[in-house]
Amino acid sequence: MASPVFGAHAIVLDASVAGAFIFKEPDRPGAKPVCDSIARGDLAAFVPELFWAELQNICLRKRDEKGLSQAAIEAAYTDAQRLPVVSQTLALTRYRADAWDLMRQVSGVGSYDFYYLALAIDLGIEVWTFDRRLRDAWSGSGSTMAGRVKVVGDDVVI
Amino acid sequence: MAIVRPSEQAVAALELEQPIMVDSDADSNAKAILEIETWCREHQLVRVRENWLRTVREGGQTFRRGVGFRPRGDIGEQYQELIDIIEARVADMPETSNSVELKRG
Repeated sequence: MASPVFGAHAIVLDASVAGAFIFKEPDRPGAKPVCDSIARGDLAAFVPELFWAELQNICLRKRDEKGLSQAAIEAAYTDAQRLPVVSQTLALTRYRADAWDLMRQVSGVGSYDFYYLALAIDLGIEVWTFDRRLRDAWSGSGSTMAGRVKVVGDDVVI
Repeated sequence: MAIVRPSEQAVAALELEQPIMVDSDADSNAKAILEIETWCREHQLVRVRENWLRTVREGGQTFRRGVGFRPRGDIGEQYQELIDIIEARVADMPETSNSVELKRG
């Protein structure tokens, strides 16, 4: 990718978007254009390392609860690893205090999600997700956190 | 005015592809962006586009903080190959949805 003059547009990519992409989930058509942009190098995607654990969980539960074969989830997981995302290693250690501080403020959101948010705050960028609960967790609180989380298809369309 | 962090030693020890915080002591946001942009290019990094940099105060001084990273780049024709693989794979697979719920452990 050529070095852009005014910097790269960057996001933190939630595992729900990658999962929708590799399994071509019919109700998530917005996943592919996002991944197209990442693959073209037009959009830089950062992920905390637990992105991979969540993606593995999606694969396992697609097998155990949705009836996909082992071969199907193996293939999907292999495909996911070809996406050129930038993994932030040691995110659990680095953002443990920040994530805890965020998660104490709201309810109804999984603890892992706050690591995505803490990474996004640290890098000064947004989280792109399909998880409306993460976006809506701060609604009515006046917090700027809600603006930091964009739901693909609702808030951002490529 | 200059880039005050990271040191050249820290850059040499950088893991590829990790985002790195870059601090400038420039006295305006615009100058700091230009400094950080230039510094990133010199180190084969790309600056994350932020129009308004965060300010950090340390030791009585104010710094403006940007982020650089080493991009993994355009995967080009490999991506079309990936799309073709996914299309072929899902054609033989039952439709599934709801990665939002399934990602939770």
